Amino acid sequence: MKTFLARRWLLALVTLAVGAGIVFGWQLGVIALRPMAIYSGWLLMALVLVLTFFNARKKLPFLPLLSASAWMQAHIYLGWLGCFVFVLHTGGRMPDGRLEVVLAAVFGVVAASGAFGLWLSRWLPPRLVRSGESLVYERIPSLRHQLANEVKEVVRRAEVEAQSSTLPDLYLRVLHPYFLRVPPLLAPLTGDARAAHHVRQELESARRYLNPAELNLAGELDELVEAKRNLDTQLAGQRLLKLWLFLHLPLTYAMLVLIAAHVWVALQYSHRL
Amino acid sequence: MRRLLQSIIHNRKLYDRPQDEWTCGRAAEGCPCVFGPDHKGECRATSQCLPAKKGDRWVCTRPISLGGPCAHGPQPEGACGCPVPPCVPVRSLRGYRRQVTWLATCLAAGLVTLALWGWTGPDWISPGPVTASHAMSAQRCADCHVQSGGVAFTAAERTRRTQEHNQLCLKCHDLGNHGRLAHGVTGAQLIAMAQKMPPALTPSPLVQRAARPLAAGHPTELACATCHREHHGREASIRHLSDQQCQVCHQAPFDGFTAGHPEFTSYPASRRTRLQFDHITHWQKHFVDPRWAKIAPTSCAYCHEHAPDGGKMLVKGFEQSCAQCHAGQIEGEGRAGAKGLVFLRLPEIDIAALEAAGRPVGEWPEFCEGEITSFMAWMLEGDATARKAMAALGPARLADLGDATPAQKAAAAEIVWSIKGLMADLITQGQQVMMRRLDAYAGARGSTRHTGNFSADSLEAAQRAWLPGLLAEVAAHRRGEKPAPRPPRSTNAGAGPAAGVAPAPAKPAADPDDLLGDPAPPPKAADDDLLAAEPPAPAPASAATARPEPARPLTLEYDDAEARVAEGGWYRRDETYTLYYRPTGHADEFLTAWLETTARDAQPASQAIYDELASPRAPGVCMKCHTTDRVGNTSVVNWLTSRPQPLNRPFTTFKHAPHFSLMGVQGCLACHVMDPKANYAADFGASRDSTVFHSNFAPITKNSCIACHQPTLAGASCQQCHNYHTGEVRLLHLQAAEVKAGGAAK
Amino acid sequence: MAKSTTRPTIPAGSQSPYAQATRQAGPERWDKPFSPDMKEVDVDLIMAHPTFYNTAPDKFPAGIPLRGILRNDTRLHQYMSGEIIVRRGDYGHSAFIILDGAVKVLTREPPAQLLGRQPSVRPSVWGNFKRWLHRPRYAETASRRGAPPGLQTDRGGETRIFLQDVPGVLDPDQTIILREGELFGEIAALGRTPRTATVVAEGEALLLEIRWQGLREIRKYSPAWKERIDGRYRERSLKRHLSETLQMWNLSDVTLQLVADATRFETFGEFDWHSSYQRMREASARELMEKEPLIAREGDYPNGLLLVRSGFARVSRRYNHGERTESYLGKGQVFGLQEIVTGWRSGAHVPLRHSLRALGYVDLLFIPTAVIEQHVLPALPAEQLAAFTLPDTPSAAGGAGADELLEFMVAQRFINGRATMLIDLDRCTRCDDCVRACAATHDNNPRFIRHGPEAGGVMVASACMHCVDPVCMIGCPTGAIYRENIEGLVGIDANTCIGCSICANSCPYGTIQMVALHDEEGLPVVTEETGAPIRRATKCDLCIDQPGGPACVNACPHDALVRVDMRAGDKLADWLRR
Repeated sequence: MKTFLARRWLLALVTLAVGAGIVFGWQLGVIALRPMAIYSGWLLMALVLVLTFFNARKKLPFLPLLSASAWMQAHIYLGWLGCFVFVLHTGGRMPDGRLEVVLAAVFGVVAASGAFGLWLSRWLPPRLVRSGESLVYERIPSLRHQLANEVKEVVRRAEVEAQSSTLPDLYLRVLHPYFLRVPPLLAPLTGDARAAHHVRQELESARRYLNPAELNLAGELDELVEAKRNLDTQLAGQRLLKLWLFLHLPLTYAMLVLIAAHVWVALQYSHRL
Repeated sequence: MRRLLQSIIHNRKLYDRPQDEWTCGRAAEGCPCVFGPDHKGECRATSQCLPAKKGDRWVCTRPISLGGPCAHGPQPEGACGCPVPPCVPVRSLRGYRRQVTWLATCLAAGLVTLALWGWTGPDWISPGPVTASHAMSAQRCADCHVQSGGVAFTAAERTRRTQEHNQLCLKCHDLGNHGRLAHGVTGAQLIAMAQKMPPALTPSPLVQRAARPLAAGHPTELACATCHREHHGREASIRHLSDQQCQVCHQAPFDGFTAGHPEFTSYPASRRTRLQFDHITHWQKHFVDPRWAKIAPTSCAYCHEHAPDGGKMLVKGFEQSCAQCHAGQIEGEGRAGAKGLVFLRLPEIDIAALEAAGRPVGEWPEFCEGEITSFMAWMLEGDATARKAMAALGPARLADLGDATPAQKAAAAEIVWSIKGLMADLITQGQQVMMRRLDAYAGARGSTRHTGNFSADSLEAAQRAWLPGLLAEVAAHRRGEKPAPRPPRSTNAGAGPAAGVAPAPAKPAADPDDLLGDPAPPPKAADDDLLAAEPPAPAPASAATARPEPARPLTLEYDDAEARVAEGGWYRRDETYTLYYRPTGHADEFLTAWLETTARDAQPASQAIYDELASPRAPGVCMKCHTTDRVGNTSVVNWLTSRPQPLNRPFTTFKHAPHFSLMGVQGCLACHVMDPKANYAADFGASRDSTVFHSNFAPITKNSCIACHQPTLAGASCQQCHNYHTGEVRLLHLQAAEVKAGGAAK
Repeated sequence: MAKSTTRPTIPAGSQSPYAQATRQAGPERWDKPFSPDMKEVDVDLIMAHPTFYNTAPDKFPAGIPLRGILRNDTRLHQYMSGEIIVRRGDYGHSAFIILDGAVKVLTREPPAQLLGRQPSVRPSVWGNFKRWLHRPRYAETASRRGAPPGLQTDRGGETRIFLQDVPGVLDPDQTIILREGELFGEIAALGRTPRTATVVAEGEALLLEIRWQGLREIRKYSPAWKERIDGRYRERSLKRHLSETLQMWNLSDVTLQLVADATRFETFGEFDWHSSYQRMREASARELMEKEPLIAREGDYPNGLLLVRSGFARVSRRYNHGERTESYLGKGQVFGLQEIVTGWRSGAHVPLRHSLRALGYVDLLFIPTAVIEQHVLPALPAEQLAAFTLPDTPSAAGGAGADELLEFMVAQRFINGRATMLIDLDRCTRCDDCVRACAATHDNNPRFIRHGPEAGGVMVASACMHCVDPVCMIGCPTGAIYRENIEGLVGIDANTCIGCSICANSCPYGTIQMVALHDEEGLPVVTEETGAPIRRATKCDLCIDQPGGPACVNACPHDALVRVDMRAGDKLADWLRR
């Protein structure tokens, strides 16, 4: 089995070669006074359709098509190729027609979000692993709830057993909001460990008011805080890994509609086909 | 190590179902009901389990995944002990994504609908602004686009659409007959050019060779859009092509002007000059000749100037360029022999032979000389009998009919009578005779230019002097009477008519007078008169008796007849019985008119006139400089030097004016190098073929251009010197119909 | 569940679905003693049977008297003609003694459906497409496919399966008749190997079924029985097994026979190790290891060559104050050979370099060193001997945790897996495409959980591993859980499953889920009698009916998910090294 690095090099080189071939063909076409805008347009549309079919293949897993990872690789590198052909097609400048401006903008966003998603898919997972136990996204809300209850339980025990209000006060002031907290959208990119750190410090500074019994409970709280930190990391990370698709997919379908219109107009009005 | 958040112990958990759109609203609290919501997202939960009846008591059947059987168990009557209040099911992230996707798609569809069929008009679907010259159509797509007919898929459909679109372009742009063919010339012409064209000197570049297969399938009729790409902005150039693009159709493409462009063969000369002006002889012989040195030109600019558009160099014209030396020559200065053109003459006739043959021709001067003039011959041609007679005469000469056959003699007599008739007609009807004859030519209308203001009076005066009885004789002859035999010539031997033109003698003048009073009387009346009058026979005798008289009262000397018409006009010489026309100077209308007419006419009679006028010895010496070109099946006399032709786009364009600043001390010679060895004159004279020529100047060499025209300097692109659309091209033409329609519309 | 069901129609938007829950017959599981209705009279009858003449009850310890064994660990079973007693490929946990009548052993395997198994769906794209089109809207919708032929569930839930079309299947030349007094099924029972043949009742037959615990005691305390069982094993399959295991030595028949005669059988660990394992799994790796029964200790003299017949054994080595796992032995692998060879060649005393511990239940063959040195080694060529010789210096011991993953896999017993689902968490974007693909190919129901123990960035998701040693198959009352072929993938026949959840409880890895069934309305299907929800055992079937193989692997866009056979260690290593 070849390594990912080798595969990356191979496919990148192949893509570059194909791109170079396309440029050469483009040059010939221009010199031969062929309607290259139309040819490159067809090519670009074909690429976009292939890229879109990746989603369909995901929805029909029982068809003995190539494996999704093969599709993914094709998706990535044909995507780069598509951006390249797009630049050729538009001549590297912002088009003038309004419909075309919209289309180009949509394409740009789709491509950009795709690139971002790719980077995210390679960059984020290792960080999630290092953060700790990996959680199933759908279960996270209930897990948060569970954690909150456990904290409440520990604090209650502190109140009952030690007859002191140190931990309860801390709970009301710091722990309660922290355990109900939902991390911000871009937390994984900004590295959002401040809240957890703050809570730990509070807990640490509170220890000097605790008797041995409470110290054990504080230890448990420490573990819970750590668990919550991991939970937040997992939640934010997995959420971001799903959210970028909210740009990529819907705009893709919008783009297909615009492409259809663009093609129709081009064929309808072009002097030369 | 802290225990894991998610238990891994089996059957404490159930399958996660990320594919479901709805999840129970209580899942967040960790106590989802056993059903979960239905597919429409409605909560269906009532309790956490369905108690089962074991024997006679109810037991909790809550699945272990929800924490196993509950502590307190079911109600006594079997209802679940821990009922679940209905929840608000939560839509999954993918569910939201699906909604967003639909939204975005619908937005796009709406936008497209508005753009294509909405009120927004062409602004939305237009791919960009058109060039300024097309801006008036920016809002009217139909001006340049075929909007009906839908999308074309088959090749045939596509070509049809392309042609329809081309028609729309040609609505405003007139590219001549072959407008949409390559270079506006037919395939045949292209092939001809290709054969003339030498193959490329350098092997064609890789790109070109690779591109050729692409170029192969070109339609013979190109789409305008092949080269002209619109909608690229107001200032965009829709005419520019790269050199490689220009050559893609060519048989022998090359790198560029500096490399591979074939050397000029004869540029700029493409034909012999319209004026036969030999720069070599003028600059090397005449201009240095001390006689002329003072007035000789010192620079090209003396005779040449550039056209208003700075393109061609033109000749300044006769007055400026030639008159200094050649004006007099045309009027005949220092010319030996007659300065006038022989128009009419009494030819020498062998009267004796005719009379011996019993064919009297009536009165005829004895000492005439010479043949029938070309003009007379030409006019006689118009007379059927004369034409027949001349044909019958054949090789025999009128002047010597000694050994002529009787038939020839009869013909000769007929000719003499025709000449007399012609003179009579010219006298009595004047210019009309010429005009009638000219009308015989299709197309060529006779004009005053042809008559040269011919005056019948001067001819009448001549007739009085030469053949006083002409009119009567002709009248009689036309009546069919034989003229009386001539009296024996004795008395007036050696005595010719006086040098001066004697005034008509009074007595015989009577008959001519009344005859003249009625120049062309109806035969009857003429009969009466002639019956009444004495036979004309004695007239010569009386003339003879009256001869000495005129000299005596004469006191003043007449000047030379020729000198009297120094500025041109008609005159005669009695000693040679000839009527002359003297040219009025440069561009004399009579000569130019006759040269033009006769040059076109192949008949011998006409050619005789042309040859006479065209000969270097002819008065006016027109054709010493001017030339005649055969154009198709007719001929044109080049009176003018070449002029710019705005309606005829050449393949190669050159503007002189921009290059003036570049000329060094050599001036024009920097590029136009004289070629002393070229036999310039050889191709003129009789030849009417303008394409055979030796230019005075060596062809301009590519090197003289390459000095500046490099890609990095003055530029060397094809389009700098070459036009694609050539021939009769009106880039824009006005359509009266449309204008009217437009006007009506407003 | 193939029975006719009665389900009243549901008014739309009803909020009390239990009222209209589908009711139908549901099975029960019998109680803990092997058979509740074994009476003293039965025991007397058995004791009187000639088979037990020469069994001396007095040899049995007072704690486990023969009668007690017969009472609790055996049961009488009256089979009707054509009824299937054991099926080839099934994992049995009991042996049979014919008390009366006769049984047929089918040497040729009849078609699966005749054995009461649903023929597995043939992979077809179109079929799957239709299945996907008609995928139910709700989770775990009960399929209405009929029960397989021959399955009978009488009241009380006792399930009997009859061989269909008996005369057609059983032509005499392909059957062996076992008569009264014969013992069969003991190899599978003791050796943890699948049944090697299908046995059908020939006419009415009364059989005594002894579960493996009882059989082990009897073998242990009654020399006659021991001699009988081992003898039968020797004559039936020991030699074949030896020649397979030691084939590289290509021994002559004579030596093979000698070796076979000298071979002793040894078993370590508890037969149903999974229950204790599940109790233990919260403990640390070290505790686990110490709990594992020691087979051979490092540093001892190798007094015999050990051949693993079934199960797994951990090969570990002392490292300062702990032990580091170096490898593990599976079926057919040997332990101690190198030490023996080296010792024989050098004539010196070469102690074992590793310890051997039983992972769960291990069944071993013990060949004394003397026999090896006397009969085997002299016959071997020198270079082969050289190959078996130990390197002079023990392999350099890497730092602790040199192979964290190996420790993990062994400790968690994942080495059992043939198609273990591993997820590379560094690549996995948690997109759940694998789960959705699984659901799309299984009637909108996922068949695994994308979650499980992690080590070194690799997660072992809880999907059926199709174990080499599938303990889940022990004790399935209906044989609903089966193997495609020996060593093949493990499947559950949905229509034969009665939801007893024995398999789910037996699976050490918790990859079998008991799911409550729903009808087309998404309402639960419950039993007629008690109204308890009807469950069914579900698990990964490795997409046996998918043309493209496992959907989860194909669906992973990031190459994060694989199904690996833990016996092919190098493949796993490659995958980890990508």
